[in-house]
Amino acid sequence: MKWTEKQIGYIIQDMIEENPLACRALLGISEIVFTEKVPTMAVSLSARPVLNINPKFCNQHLESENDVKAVLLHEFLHVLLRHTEKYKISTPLLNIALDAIINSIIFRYKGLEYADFFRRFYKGRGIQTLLKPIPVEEFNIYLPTDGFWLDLNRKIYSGKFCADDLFELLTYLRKKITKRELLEIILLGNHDDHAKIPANIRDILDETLKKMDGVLIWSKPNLRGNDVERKSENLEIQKFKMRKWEKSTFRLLKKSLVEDKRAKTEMSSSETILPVLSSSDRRALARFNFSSIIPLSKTEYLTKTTSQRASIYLDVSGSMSSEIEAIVSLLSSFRPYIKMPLWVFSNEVEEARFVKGKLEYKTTFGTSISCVFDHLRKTKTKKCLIVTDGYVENINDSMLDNLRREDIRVLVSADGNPSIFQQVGIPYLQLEKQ
Amino acid sequence: MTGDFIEKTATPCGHRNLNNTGGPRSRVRTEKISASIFDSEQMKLQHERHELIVPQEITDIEEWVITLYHPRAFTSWEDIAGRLKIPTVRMLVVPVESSAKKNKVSKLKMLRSAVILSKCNKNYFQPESPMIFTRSRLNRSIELIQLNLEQYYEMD
Repeated sequence: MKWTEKQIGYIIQDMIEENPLACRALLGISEIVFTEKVPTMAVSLSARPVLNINPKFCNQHLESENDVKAVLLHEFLHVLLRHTEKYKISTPLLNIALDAIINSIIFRYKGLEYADFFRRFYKGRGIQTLLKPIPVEEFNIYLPTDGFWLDLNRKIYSGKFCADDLFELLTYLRKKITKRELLEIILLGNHDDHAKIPANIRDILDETLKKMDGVLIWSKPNLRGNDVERKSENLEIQKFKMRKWEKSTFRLLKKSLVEDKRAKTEMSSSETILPVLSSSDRRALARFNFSSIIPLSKTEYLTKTTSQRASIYLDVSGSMSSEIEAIVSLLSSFRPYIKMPLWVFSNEVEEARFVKGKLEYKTTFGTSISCVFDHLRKTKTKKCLIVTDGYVENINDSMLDNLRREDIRVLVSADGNPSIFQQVGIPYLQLEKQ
Repeated sequence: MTGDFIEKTATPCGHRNLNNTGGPRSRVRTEKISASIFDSEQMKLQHERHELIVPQEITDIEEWVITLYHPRAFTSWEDIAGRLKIPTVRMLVVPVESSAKKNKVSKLKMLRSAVILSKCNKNYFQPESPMIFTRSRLNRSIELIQLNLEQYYEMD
């Protein structure tokens, strides 16, 4: 198929939006260069990464958009798993082991939608069969002598091997593999550039790896592609993650609670130890049965307490737009603990209101956190919780004048970057990727 | 002497305990129950349907979309989006069955669908999102829906 550079650019943009395996972080900042200096596609990791694409390879081998995405994802996984850094000397067997594992990850994550390309690209037999998923019903078109490789293929594509194990096994089986077989294989992606990874890219890769928990790739060896079973499992995982979000957010919110004198007083139960038998302490009752002395027992009583609420500042800048709904639904589940009005900020701090279950607010789409600190000083707020993605200006000491850093807590969204708060010593918690 | 009687334990759901559910086996029936808020017209504040097929031989999809307009009159995508009255609010994307009328509509309608589909990801149409002209985005049959959440509790 004849590809234009513009069309490949659009496919990459589409993939960045789709964000499979959190590839957005790296591909989103990569410069795209069309060159024949690389055999297929390769990312060179400089301070600004460059994605090199060989147009000739694309025209010759890639037939659909999914083929382009499959090769891109293959290259992204080489970078993400730091193959060129981890293995300083590349050998043909190592390259095959790494490629087979990457192709199996792509197959298990996206099914034949993406992995069909590998089936068309690697037509050979013998060791080459390890580089493509082969459905069991196609096993009969292979020769009985391929039985060993097919068995190995089944194990790789059902997630029973890691790259190191496979490499070790292939080294052991060296005698079974002919030199010709190895020479026939065209390897995808970058296998030879052993340059040091710059610090900024290292951070991006670390963050991306943290966001990948292996769900749907490594945890269920028998499920493949996008079938119903996988989708329902995905739904359960999302529910579980939402509960995890709620739990971790509540832990942080509790630390930001202060007495709200304007709110109604609440009855809360407390406990005290008295030498009076209480029906609620069954241990004490049991003890009284074999001892004539009235034991000390726990007694519950209700006391009036002032309600405790947290002042919340929610970032509603443009960069939060993709996550704002999830954050608002998370916050609405803690409504009784939120001091009204709920403050929102972009370049200025404004009041927000819950109207018919929706949060109504004004935003200027810019991001500045200094207005929040000014507002805290102006309203003499003791403790607060700031909900943001962390893409704000640098925080300096003068911005935090007259404020106790430990009384400010930050909830960083899943796609956000908490480094700015880490630098100035403001306690933060980052939500896990959904 | 043994009779010819064979106990039939198989039920439509293959479970013998469900035989005794109050009716003869012939009256036992299985049906799937499903409901969707997207089927309710009452819930839709605004909705429109879009479908398109990009011909297989096309390699530069953006160029093909421009040819649906008058290529000489083409100035910029912003200008075209303004003229086509693209929705200005975020809407949900719901996949629908494709109809036989695909690509039999006027070129202007196809152009509008192409522009809207290029701004739709898997779940949403965002008016401010960039236009991405790929086959996977454009070759779809979708309905854009803006839900009227105030009607939700009146559905009963």
